[in-house]
Amino acid sequence: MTRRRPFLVAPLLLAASLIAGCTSSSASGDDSIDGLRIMVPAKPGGGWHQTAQALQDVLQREKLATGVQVFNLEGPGGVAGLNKLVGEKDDELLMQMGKVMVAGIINNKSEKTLKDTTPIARLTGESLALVVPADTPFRNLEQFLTHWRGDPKGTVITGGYVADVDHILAGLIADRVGIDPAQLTYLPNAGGGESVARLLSGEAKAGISGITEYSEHIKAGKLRAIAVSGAHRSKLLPEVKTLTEQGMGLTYLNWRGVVARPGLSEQAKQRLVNAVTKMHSSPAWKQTLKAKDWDDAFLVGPEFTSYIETEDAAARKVLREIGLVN
Amino acid sequence: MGSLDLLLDGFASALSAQNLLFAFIGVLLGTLVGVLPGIGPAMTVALLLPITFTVPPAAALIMFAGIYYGGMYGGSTTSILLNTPGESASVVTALEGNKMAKAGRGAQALATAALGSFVAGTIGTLLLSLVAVPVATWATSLTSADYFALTALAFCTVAAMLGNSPLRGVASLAVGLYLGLIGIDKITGQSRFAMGIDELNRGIPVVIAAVGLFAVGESIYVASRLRHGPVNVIPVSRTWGLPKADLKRSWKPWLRGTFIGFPIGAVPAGGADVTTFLSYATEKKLAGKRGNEFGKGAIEGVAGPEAANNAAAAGVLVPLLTLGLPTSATAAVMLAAFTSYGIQPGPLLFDTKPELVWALIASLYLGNVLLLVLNLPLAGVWVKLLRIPRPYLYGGILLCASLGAFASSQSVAGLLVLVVIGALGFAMRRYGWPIAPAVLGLILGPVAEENLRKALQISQGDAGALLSSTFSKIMFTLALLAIFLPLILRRRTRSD
Amino acid sequence: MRAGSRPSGELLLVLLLAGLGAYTLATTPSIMVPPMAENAGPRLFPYLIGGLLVGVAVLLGAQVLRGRSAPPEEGEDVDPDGRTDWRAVLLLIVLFAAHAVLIEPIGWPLAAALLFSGVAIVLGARTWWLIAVSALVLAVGLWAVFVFGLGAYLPGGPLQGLVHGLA
Repeated sequence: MTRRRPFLVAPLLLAASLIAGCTSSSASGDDSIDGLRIMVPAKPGGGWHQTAQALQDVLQREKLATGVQVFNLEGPGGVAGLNKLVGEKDDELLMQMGKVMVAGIINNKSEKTLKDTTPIARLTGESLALVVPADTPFRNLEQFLTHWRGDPKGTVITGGYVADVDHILAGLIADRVGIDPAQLTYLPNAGGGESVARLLSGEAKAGISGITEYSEHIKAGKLRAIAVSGAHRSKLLPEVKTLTEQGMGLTYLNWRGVVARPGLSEQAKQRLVNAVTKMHSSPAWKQTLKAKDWDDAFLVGPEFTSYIETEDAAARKVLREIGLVN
Repeated sequence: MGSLDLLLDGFASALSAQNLLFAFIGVLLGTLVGVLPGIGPAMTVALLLPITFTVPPAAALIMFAGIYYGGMYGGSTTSILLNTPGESASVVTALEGNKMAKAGRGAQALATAALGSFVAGTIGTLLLSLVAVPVATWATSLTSADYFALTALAFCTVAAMLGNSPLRGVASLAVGLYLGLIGIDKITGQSRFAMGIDELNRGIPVVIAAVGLFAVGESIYVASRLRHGPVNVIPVSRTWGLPKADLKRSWKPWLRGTFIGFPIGAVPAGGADVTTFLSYATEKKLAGKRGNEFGKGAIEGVAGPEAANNAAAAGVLVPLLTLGLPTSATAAVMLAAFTSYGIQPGPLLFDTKPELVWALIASLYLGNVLLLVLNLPLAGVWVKLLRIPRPYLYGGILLCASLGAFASSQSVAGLLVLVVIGALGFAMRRYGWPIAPAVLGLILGPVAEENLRKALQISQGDAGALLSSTFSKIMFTLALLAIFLPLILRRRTRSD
Repeated sequence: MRAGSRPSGELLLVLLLAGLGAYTLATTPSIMVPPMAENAGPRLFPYLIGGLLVGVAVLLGAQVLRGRSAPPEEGEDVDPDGRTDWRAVLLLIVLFAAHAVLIEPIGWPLAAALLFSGVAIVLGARTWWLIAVSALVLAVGLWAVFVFGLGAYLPGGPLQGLVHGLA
């Protein structure tokens, strides 16, 4: 009687998962990394999670790694994940990170920083979009900026977390157009996707977040994009002009990459670098970039390490200007 | 594309081999845990949350919905055939159902419960399909202040309506709200109440809280005062259907139960339990000359509450899907399943993930059919499960608790937090504090805080903004009523 | 309501509630508030909850002291008239905590089998072979389903090596 339960349920669950195509084992080559884990230091579904899943997918399809697992460890700015990584001893562990983490570390006054990790590679860059609710009169950037200049405090701008890339871009734009960044009224959300509800209810006048967070609602005619932040227009929103095209000398890309635990041996590091480098040159990765509308921002080795340092200095400066850190 | 087309697409998706299989597993597991004592649908969904890391969203959500509906069917079997009162949603069913079983009419009681659940579940799902889109469309205009008002209403009703002692309901809610505060503040990134423990900085995950309060708490509680001696299950013959006379007495209570259950389930007012009491009272009042049968095994007293129960389950999905607000413990855990896919239920869900929602709704229709098939002829099989020796049953439940909690938290510290919360769950049960308000507080607390802060941020600190819209005024008025009406009624009955 | 059913224990729970409230109110002022979040910072809600905790604790404490307690929760397997078996409560908590600590060294399946057997014995099971067999079947079976079927991460301990050896 007692054994009825497992016998009844276990095979069914197993069968179900097989149908779901979740079995992870596959033939493994000699130089492939077995049992690679990718930590996503944020909640599922966001940009980091998508990047990690794309990485997992292509690494496995190209037989560069087997049994790749993606797992989440949530916490603002990804600092919780960073702390976990610093204490890890696993050589086959990558942590997804990006521009958001650089600012997150500063904003959360984290003791551990990216200097405590082994940078592996910068992978992608994503343009942000500036949107307004479709029922507002603003047709282009200039019309919106005129309104914003007229009432800087009363014009609520929304986006992701405090000190997120969205918040920083709002501060940068304010600074460029002659609004004191300290006057910015920024309505933070737990993720850029949640800002849509605040735009549709009319509480916020404009929103800034990743293009993918907004593209569905733009297509559905609920939101109108008035600028994108990258150097060129987005393939998802080909009619929307860049900030530069609209007379603002500003380009801003939300980059994402991966780092490994501190104190990695040169050999173990090289193995990870080789895997992502091979992955980067595969057609499958190019196709993924195209499908997700991500820019190729591939950068490895010492160049990536020094890039992180530049980013850190830049983020500190902006956060001071918006009044987030002293 | 109209709702009907979307629903038809939903059926196409729900009927795919994979989704159908998951629906089947869901209703099977749901019936199983509904029948088994000590483990309910909320806990089962919580235990299975880790599968959201690997199984596609539609399949997992369809399975969870199956567990949710299945638990409602299974619960009635236990309360009819086991000679003891069961969990709160099926207490009323036991009143008449158990008497019927003792009088040798167990088969008829099971049949009217299963058929009533099917009728109510199907009509409830139909109503859900009809109202969901209009409600979602209307809800896009709700502001942060409105959402805060909604959560305030949910807190007031949940604490006031559950359990024997409203004050203990509030205490339970307060515990949940406190647990929800722990961790890094989502908006500003400040650490709060973590007591310097790294594990707590991540916050208390819903899985840990739900599994701790339900599974671990319940197991410890049962261990503390285990009913010794053999399990007293009333034997029952095979059931295929309902005799004509009983059908004639049942169909009206089914329909009345449905229309009592669905609306009450759909407003954020404390879930399914209340509706069963209301339906029972209605049937008793309407019974006329049969009124004296109540208390001795009146079939109306099984048919009505069972239908109300299932209709309310469908009703609860309305605020869950269209507003992102859970109003029962199971709904709260299902919300966690959605968010672990990065899907935010709410007004935009029907725009952004129409294929997912409609597949889910279509699966509810199918699930009801599957459940009828599983429960009507197979009732005898489920009854056998009731005889599992308790030491093994609770050993298995605790083992599952560890499995679910460890797979989701990936840390031993998470399991230690689980034990502490389990001990708390035990103490709360021991002294009659209801558990559900704590789980809702944990989940809705952060939602309330976020919306309160957004509303104040927008109004630049003016608290009057919280009451600026008509909607929020209505919600706060209802919240006040929910608190004071029971008090006034109680005082009046006492003075009578 | 069964008056006079030993309210002393509930008083501890009420004290815990009051303690949590006091702790909340005392530590909230030390939460840092970023300059931009002055209107609606991370302190507002904790103050509300802290106040609620203390308020409920006071009201409930008064009720308990006046001997008004609620009946313990009912359940299918619960004997409402039985006395609380504190030994079983303590043993279950210790068993679970021990299980948690053992997961890393000996792997989940074995730690879980020990948990199952321990709980079954505390609750009165005495058929040794049945306990052992069901513990191992359940623990290893569920581990296999979750790890190989659903791709979850659960340390296998010695079993992991065995499976790798076979593969």
